[in-house]
Amino acid sequence: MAEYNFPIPGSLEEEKIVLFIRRHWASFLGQFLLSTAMLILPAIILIIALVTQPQVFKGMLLNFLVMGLSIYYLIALTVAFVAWISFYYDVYIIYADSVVDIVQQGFFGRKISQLSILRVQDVSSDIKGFLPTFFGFGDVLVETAGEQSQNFLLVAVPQPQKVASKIMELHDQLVAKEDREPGIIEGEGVLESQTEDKDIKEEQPETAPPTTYQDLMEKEQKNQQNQPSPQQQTSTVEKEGEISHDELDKGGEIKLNDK
Amino acid sequence: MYIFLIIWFLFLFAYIIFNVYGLYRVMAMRIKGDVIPLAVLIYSVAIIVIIIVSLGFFMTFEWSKSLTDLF
Repeated sequence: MAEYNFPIPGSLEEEKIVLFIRRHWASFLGQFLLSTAMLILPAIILIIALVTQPQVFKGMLLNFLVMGLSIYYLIALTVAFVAWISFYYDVYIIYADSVVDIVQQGFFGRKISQLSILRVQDVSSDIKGFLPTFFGFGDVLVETAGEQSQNFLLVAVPQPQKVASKIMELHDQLVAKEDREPGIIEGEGVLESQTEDKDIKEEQPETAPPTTYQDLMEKEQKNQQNQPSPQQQTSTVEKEGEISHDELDKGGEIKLNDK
Repeated sequence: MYIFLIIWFLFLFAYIIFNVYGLYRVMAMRIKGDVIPLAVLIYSVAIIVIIIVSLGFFMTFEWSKSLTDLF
């Protein structure tokens, strides 16, 4: 029995699949009717010609006619089958943490893309036209944030509103699970972890300078106690916030007290 | 006229090679529970039917005439 025989980054585990979506059958209706017409119309034309002008189907012309029809039907059959394969293998798989988009192009073309749901910024559904409205299918656009934004367009998905809301629901669940801020950091559009912020915030009081009025007053008093007498002061004495003459010569840098 | 028959057989040869490899690729990327085996079976049967009917007609036709006899 065949399994999921396509290479997807990471592993593909069946139990983790939340939604497995194929394109709605009605989206193939146009190609199906065209293929059917390609197969049936020549036969109808031949029958009409056989009835009305039977002299055409005599001699060497019949050889060419049969040969041409044979080639035509073989090619038409392959074109129809390739169109169906392209339709049937357009698959969208939604996991709890990612969206996989598989686009089949004929026998030999296949594009597989994967998007982390954590990067999703906006999901919108679009039902446009008579057939999509009648049969209830449409497109779902999954947009990501950041400069390297990667948008997924899920084409002709049945019940697109439900799919869109499910993706957003999974996104919210994932954000809550990962304990992440809903805000988006600059650059890649990757969500910033709240836990990392907490660590940074906890360390800040130990290293940060005193900011309250009392702290500043205590520090000022300590500085005054530690200061030498005015006679001992030279031009190189450095008070907090003052510029010494030497430093002015150097370029006017302001030195702050280390203590 | 045999030249046309040869051209047809050459086309058939290329067509069969294309389809055999194409179907092999399709079967290789199957998804669990899909209907590809049935579709491939129907497709193959349709191709075989077209080829057999064509060959049946070809065998009844006269191919020994030269092209100049046509005009």
